[in-house]
Parts: sequence; structure tokens; C-alpha cells
Amino acid sequence: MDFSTLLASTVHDMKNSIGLLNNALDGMASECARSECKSASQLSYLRYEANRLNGNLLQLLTLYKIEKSSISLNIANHNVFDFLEENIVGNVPLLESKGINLELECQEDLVWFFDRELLSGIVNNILNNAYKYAGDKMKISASVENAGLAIRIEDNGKGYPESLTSAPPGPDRFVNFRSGSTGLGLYFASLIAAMHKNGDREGSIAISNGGALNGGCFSIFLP
Amino acid sequence: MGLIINNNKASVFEKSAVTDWKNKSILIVDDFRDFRFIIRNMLQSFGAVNIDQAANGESALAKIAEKKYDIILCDYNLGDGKDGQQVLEEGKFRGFINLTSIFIMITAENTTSMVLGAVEYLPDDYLVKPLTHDIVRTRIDKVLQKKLKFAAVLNALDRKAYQEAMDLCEQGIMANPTNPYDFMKIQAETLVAMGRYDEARALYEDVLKQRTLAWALMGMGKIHFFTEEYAKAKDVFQSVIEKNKMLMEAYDWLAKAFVKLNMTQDAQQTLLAATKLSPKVVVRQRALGEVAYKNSDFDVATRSFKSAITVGKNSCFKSPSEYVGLAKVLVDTKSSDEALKIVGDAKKEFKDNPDALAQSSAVESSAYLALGDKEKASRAAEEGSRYCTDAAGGVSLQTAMDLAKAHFSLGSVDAGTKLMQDIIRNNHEDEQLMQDVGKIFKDANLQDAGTKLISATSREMVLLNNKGVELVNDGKFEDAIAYFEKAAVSLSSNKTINSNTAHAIILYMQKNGKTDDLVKKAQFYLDRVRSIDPHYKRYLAFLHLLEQLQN
Repeated sequence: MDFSTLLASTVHDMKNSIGLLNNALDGMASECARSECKSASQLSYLRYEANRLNGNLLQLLTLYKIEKSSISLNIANHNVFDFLEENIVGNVPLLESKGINLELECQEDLVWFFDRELLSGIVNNILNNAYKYAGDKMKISASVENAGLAIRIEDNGKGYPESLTSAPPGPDRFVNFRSGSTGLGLYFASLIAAMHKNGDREGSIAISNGGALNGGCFSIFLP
Repeated sequence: MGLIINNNKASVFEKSAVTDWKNKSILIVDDFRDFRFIIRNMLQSFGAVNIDQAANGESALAKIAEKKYDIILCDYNLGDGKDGQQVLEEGKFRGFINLTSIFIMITAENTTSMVLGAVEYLPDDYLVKPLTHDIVRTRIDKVLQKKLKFAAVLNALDRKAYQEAMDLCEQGIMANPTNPYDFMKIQAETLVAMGRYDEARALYEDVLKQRTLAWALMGMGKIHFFTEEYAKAKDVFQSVIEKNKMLMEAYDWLAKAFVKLNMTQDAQQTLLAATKLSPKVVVRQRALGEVAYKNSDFDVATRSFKSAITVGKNSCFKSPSEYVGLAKVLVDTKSSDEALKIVGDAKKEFKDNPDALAQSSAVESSAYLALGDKEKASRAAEEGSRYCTDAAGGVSLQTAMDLAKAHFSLGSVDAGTKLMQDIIRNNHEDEQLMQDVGKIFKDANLQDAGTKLISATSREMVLLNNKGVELVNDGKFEDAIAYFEKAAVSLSSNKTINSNTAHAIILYMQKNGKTDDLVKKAQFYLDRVRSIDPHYKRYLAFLHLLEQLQN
């Protein structure tokens, strides 16, 4: 059996486990909410970690395929509002449980061209991270700027560390094995953004502090 | 708390219910029981009550055959047996999954890495595990809404009412100024189906100016193909594959273009690459086998035909071709005993299909001949001819040619000639085919007789057709109809005769008014032409006339 097949079936198995895990956690969380039990925040935290697990799995598998050149982006026209709404919806319960308010600002008829699954992975990763870093407010916005789609995810938390905001451009800047997190998510986002090409332009991401809510600001630009 | 959307306080959960869940019938297909229960619970929480389950592809199809489901949620991986894609293909092919049902494929892998199958057999959407409650609901809502949006135009296309479809597309484009692309895609495809290639091309070019989208490039490539610009077609399909490795359709069309350009080695390489990525498609494995056989690459031919047979066991797309193909390779590689075994399997597998039985008998004959058993070879050839007469509407071209060759190899010149004459009568305008027919005669040392037969029969057909056309030109429509219908009885595969029959009926109706019976009749003959060559100019023109008549 070749490694690709082994990998695919193991991932399938892991996805099933994560699915069951999530489902059980969600069930316990709603029961908990009903009976006002003290484990509620603990359950949310577990959900957050399960999401991280899933995100890492997705990114790892995708990066493996990119490495083996067995991946092509599936670029199609998508309604950006629907896309963001769907991704936010998946994360609302978790973020609400921590008292984080979300705001979405995007025209309902905004349409752009991108790989829905991969961009979903990126957006979900950032939204999930917000559980730990956001403060109590988040703003997700999308608009057309410089003939490209700009999606911004901002919060009123402590912001990104300087090592991330001051690094020179390129995906490799995000990988730092010395810090607690490998920066896999941002590396992934940067790579996927760059794979979204239109003519001679390619996509990119930007990390900064400040923005509309004076906290962390993640943005992705797709030409 | 809640989510603020565009400065309006709105809770996602307060959104007015989009889907009428309690009135939707739903089928969940997954081999993992816990997972089926999770999905079922989610659906019940939305308000669904009509929920069935299936644990594998076979039982899913059995259920789909009996009951029309509004929503089918099917895991791509279903253990042994058919997978989700095969369930979808068979369901659609056999008409169980119709235009208003939605089919959502549940996958563990990111869809970006999945092979994108044939256009007619794509699911309405995908859901990637792990699934969450809200994503499942939102996604299904969206897919149902989209289906509704396109229901009318898809319905028109299904009835081949192309002008109607065009008008609906036009409306759709105007109603969706920021997102006209989906309607533009359908409009372009409709134009291609109507043979209006220049307009379709312009539409695709319009889209490509805005963004290099794979479907627009594929459309351009197909237009090049249909207008016989095979080199251009090849270039386009190659460029599609470069950026879209998983778009299997591109490989299939590239291979077709290579074949037309007589670049059969390249065709083989292309299909090999495609089958590596997506091995479970019978049609492709069969095509690879046939190309490899042409290239005398018996190893690849054997492997591909065997794959086609194996995959075919789980698929509604199986055909006798892969069995016959494998048997021929085995005869050519001096394994005639094994060839006979394959022929036996084919005859069992397709026992109710006289065409398949005839073709199997033809190969059986050649196998016995190769083994030196002339008696059994003769009997097989005779059996083949008997099956031919059993086959209502005649046998396929390939079957007739195989059987003719078998007869010629046994010295049964008359039997072989009779079959060849039938082929010529049904395809008198196909130059390439007439050359192939000539070659068969030449190989059987009957070159002169063959040449004479081809020219005499072709002339006979031309006269036959002209006589009918004369009646039409003289305005004697009733006589023309009777004349052509009589001719068409023994010429079910002749696209000229059949389309002229339809034309005569249409002209009659244009003069005397339409009736349901005559419309059905015209459709019958047009359908015949469609199954021979859906891009035949006269077919498209007459289809258009018939549509106009009905409006």
C-alpha cells in the first residue's frame, strides 16, 4: 500500500473520530446550557481544541498534496456573503460561549472567484483562534479593493506578536518552531492565498495590529 | 447576544426557515452507523420527519429506485461495493435521481483533492467532515434554493426545448447581474447543443476575459472539437489539465482529440494518467483498452479491459465491449483458451442482449479458428448471425464488422458480404467508415468485390434518399413520409434517412397543423439520429424546427 492511500484512509478515520468527538461535545454543551452546570466553559475549551486538531489535520494533508503536486485549486464563482455567513455560523456557538460578539459587514450580492474549501479552512482557522485571543468583539468584513477581494478578520484582543507583524513577506516567515505554535495556520493561509492567481497577480495575507477594533487584524487579498 | 450583519441585529438562528423540512423526504447513505445517527439527529432537529437510511451503495440504489427523495446525503466512501460517486451516476443514469432531487456528497477529504468527474454526474454540492449542525443546515438550504432557481431551465433542457432554455437563461442573467456566471454556463452549453457554435464561443470568450475558468476553457475546447479543429482542441484541453489536474473531463476530451489527430500514443498516455487518478470509471478504462489495442500495446490493453470488467461489476456502465476487447487481445496474444473463457463470461453477463451475444460469438469464432477448430468456429459464426436477426433494430456497427470478419475468415463470403452491405446501407455518407469497410474486404482478399459493393450500395442509398427528397421538394409530404418511413424500417442507423423522415413529418405539420401523434413520430426519428450523432447539423436544424412548431 502506498503512503498516499495510507494517509487518505487514516485521515478518513481521524475525521470520523473528530466528528464523533465534536458531536458528543455539542450534545454535552447543550445539556450543560440547559442545566447551568459548571463544566460549560471547559466544554467550550475542548471544542476549541478539537477544532484546532481538525484544522491542523486539514492543513497538513493539503500541504502534503501541494508538496507532491497532486493538487489544483478548484476556483469557481461564489457568493462571498453566503460563504462568510456559512463559516461564521459554524463558529458562533463557540465564540458566543466566551462572550465574543461578532459583526459581519459584506454586501449580499458580492461575488468572487476562489477555492471555497481551502478559503473555508483559512477563515475557520482564524475564527477558531479568536476563541483564545479575541477579547469580546470581532468584525469580519469583505469588499473589493484594488481589483481584488479583501477579507478582514479583526478583533479587540491583545493582537499578534511582533515576530509575526514585522517579518518580511513570504510564507516561511510564519514558521517558527521556537514559539508555542508552529504558525502552521498562517503558513497555510499564505501559501493558499498565493496559489490564487489572476493573470500575473497572486493573492497574499497580511497580519497587523490596530484596525477597526484596535486589536489583531488578519486580512487576505485575492486578485 | 447574536450576530450583527451589515449593521442589522440578526441572529442566524432567527433567520426565517428557508427549507420546509417536515415535507422533505431524505435518504442518508453511510456505512458508519453512528454517523448516520448523528446526521439523522441533526435533520430531526431542523424539523425533518421523513428520513430513511442505507448502509451501502447497493441498498441505497434499491431505495432510490423505489422512492423519490428530495434530498440524498451520501458518503463518498461506503466500504466495499459501490462508492458514493457510483451511486450518483447510476441513480442519474437510470432516472431515479431527477431534476428536483438534490444529491450532496459527504467527503472526508477536502474536495479540492477529489477527482471531479463527468459533468453530468457531479453532485449538487459537497459537505466535508466533520459536519456541524449549522453547516449542514445552511448548506442544504443553499443547495435547495439554487436548485429551485435553475429548475425551470433544467427542465427545459431535459425536454430538449432549447429555445425555451435560452430564454430562461437570458432572464436569469439579467436577474443576477453580479453573479450571471451559472446562467451563462448553461446558456453556452445550450448554444452548443443547438449547434450555434459561434455564439457559444463568443459567450465563453466573454467569461474568459473576466477570469480563466475551467468550465469556459472546456467549452471552448469542445467547440473546437465539434468544428473539427482538433489541434486547437488539443491545445485547450492541455492548458486546462495544467491548471486543473483533477478535472477528469479534460483528460477524456484530450484523449479524444489525440485520437482524431491520429496521435494514438499520446491518447494512450493521457488516458493512463487519468486512470491513475480515477481508476473506477468503466468508460475510461474501456477507452484506454481500445486505444492501447490500436497501439498494439497488449499489456496495457489487457490490464485496462480487465479493470473495466472488474469495475463494471459494480456499475451500470458495464458493456460487452470490454469483454470482447479483452478476448480479442487474448486471441492476438495466442491465449485463445482464455479468450473463450472471457467470451463465456460475457455471454452469461449479457445473456438478454442479442447484440452482445452476437459480438461475443464473433470473437468466439475467431478464437476457435486460432485454435484450429474450424467446425466450432463455423458454428459460433452462425450463432452470431442468428443473434443478429434476434436483435431488434439491428446490431451495433462494431458487432456487425466483427461478425463479418469472422465469416470472411471462415470463407463464408456471402454471410460476411450481407453484413457489410447492411453496414454500408446504414452509413453511406461516412467516408472514414467506408474506408474501414474496404480494408476488411482487402484483408479477406476480396478487395475488388468490396470496392464494387461499396460504390454500388452507396449509389443505391443516394438514389433512395434522392427519390424521397424529390417528393418533399414537390410538396408531396404525405407520400414522402410514407416513402421515408418504409425505408427507415431497415435503416434504423442511417442518419440521413431518419432525419429526412423527421423533416418530411415536420414539413407536413407546418402545412397542415401539428398533431400529438405526428410530433411523437417526428421525435422518434430525431431521437434515432440523436443516438447516432447528436451533433449532426441536419438533426439540430430539424430539432429546432420541431421546437418552433410546438410553440
